[in-house]
Amino acid sequence: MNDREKLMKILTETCPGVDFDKETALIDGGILESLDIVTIVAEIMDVFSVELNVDDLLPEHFNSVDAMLQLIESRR
Amino acid sequence: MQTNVLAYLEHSAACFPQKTALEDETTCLTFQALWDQGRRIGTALARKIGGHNRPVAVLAGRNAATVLAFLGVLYSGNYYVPVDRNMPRQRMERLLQRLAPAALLYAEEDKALAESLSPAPVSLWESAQIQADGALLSSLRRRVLDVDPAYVIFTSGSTGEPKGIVVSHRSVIDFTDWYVDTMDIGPEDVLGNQAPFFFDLSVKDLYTGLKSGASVYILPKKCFLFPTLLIQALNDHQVTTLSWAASAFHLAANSGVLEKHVPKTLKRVILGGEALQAKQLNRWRRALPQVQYVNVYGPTEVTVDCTYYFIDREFGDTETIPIGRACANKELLLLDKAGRPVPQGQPGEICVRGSGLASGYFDDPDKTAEVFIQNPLNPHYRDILYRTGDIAVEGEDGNFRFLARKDNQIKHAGYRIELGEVEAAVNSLPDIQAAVCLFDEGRDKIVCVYQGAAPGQTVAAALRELLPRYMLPNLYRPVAEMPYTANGKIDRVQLRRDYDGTNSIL
Repeated sequence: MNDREKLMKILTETCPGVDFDKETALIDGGILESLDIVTIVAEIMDVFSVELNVDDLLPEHFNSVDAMLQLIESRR
Repeated sequence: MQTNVLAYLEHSAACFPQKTALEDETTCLTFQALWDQGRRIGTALARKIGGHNRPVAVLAGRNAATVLAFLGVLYSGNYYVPVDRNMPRQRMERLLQRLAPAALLYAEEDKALAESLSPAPVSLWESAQIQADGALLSSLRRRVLDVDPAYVIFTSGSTGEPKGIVVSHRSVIDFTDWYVDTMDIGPEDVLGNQAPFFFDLSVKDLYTGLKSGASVYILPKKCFLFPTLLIQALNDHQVTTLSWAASAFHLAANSGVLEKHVPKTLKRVILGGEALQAKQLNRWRRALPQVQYVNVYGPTEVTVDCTYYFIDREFGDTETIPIGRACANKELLLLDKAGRPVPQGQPGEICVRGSGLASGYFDDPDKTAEVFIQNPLNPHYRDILYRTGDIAVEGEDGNFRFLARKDNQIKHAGYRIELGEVEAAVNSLPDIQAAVCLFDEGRDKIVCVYQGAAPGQTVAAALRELLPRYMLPNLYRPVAEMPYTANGKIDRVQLRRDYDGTNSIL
């Protein structure tokens, strides 16, 4: 599985029923809830073996799959 | 003699006219402005609706306009019913159909939604342009008694339909006077609002602010997704007081933000809505030892809270934090199934007495009679108890400790949810033969076990159209066949065992 597929797996399991491929306003559009973010961050750290600091948790890093992939890449 | 919650606003508008009463991301309203605009909206509504003591639905969002709408409804001599603007359409339509409100009040951003829901919705903004009619407002005010409703709040219902809890002015005054006094809140305070306005926890921020002259800052939703933004907002607005759902408090602790940034002006944190966890409390206490923490408990039917406990000692990470003792003018009885008081130290159902008790469920006399019962210990005159469905024990120190629910109601992400309502929604889908929902408390996840051809993703997507987000199952487990008990009911105990079994392997 490549990075995108791994991330998609995390997202669809955390938040079933959301079309993550197309969505670019996951935060601004109010799609993700606080518990979703917590789960996604924990899974990302686990699956990608990266450290995400609480200061990395900003809306712009979570609005889309691309934004999240960029965040992961920048923390490697 | 105070008989109407609006007297709080009028008092603060006279004492602190230019002080900020309410602030959100874009709007800031003084007590004077709240009073003035509330009266204008009340006048406009009264002229449109006529009559008094009728329900007015308000499309509720995280903004100052929602509170203004509530006050306008009260000035019109009617009672408000907050409707979550983000609720799925079908649920909203059914709710409005049952309520048959005299009007639907909306803020400008919800114009399209309101017009699609109601033939003649009332615009908040247009109503606020009208001159207040003092004579009309006074005549309406005289007809509203303290036993009349101030609001109806809908919560999840076990049969699939949400139920409306009717709460009077008297109950709100009874609660607010106790709360402001006990928590020692004054005009110098700033309350950081977390609770949505369709949830009764928000009654604390709203009426505490109006009574004490404290300012209420409505924290933007983003703050609860991104903890760094939360701390920043609390500091920027010099927030002193949090009356929050424990889940939001736990999330902030778990994020690790408190080890890096702390709210600098906090004085007190009052937590309710669900069980407070000692582990997360300890993280807050380490970061902010000078803050007073209070654990409170109470279902919407008793008007916000009925017990409180000031955290006055260290708790081990796995210790249970007591819910404490009864609030002023409320009494708790622990009764067994036959309605007899249990011996001290034995578990019993929490039953509550007092002026804070709701007037019952909207249009549902059967459900009302089932849980608002005659005190079995007093056959002599009318003396009503509310049976909470919560099981607790009373400790030797006189503090109550919550143990469990006696039914399928759960607390998930700060919300009170009937698993029966979630199941009813799943069962209504065309491809589902049978479905049961379980709650995995340790992981805070709703598990949907279902028999049907559709994959979990499809079921989930369909449920998004039927249920509010906080009620959506988190895990989907298709099964080939449901297990049944001897008398033909789905065997929940077996399903629970299967779930626990597979989960321990994972």
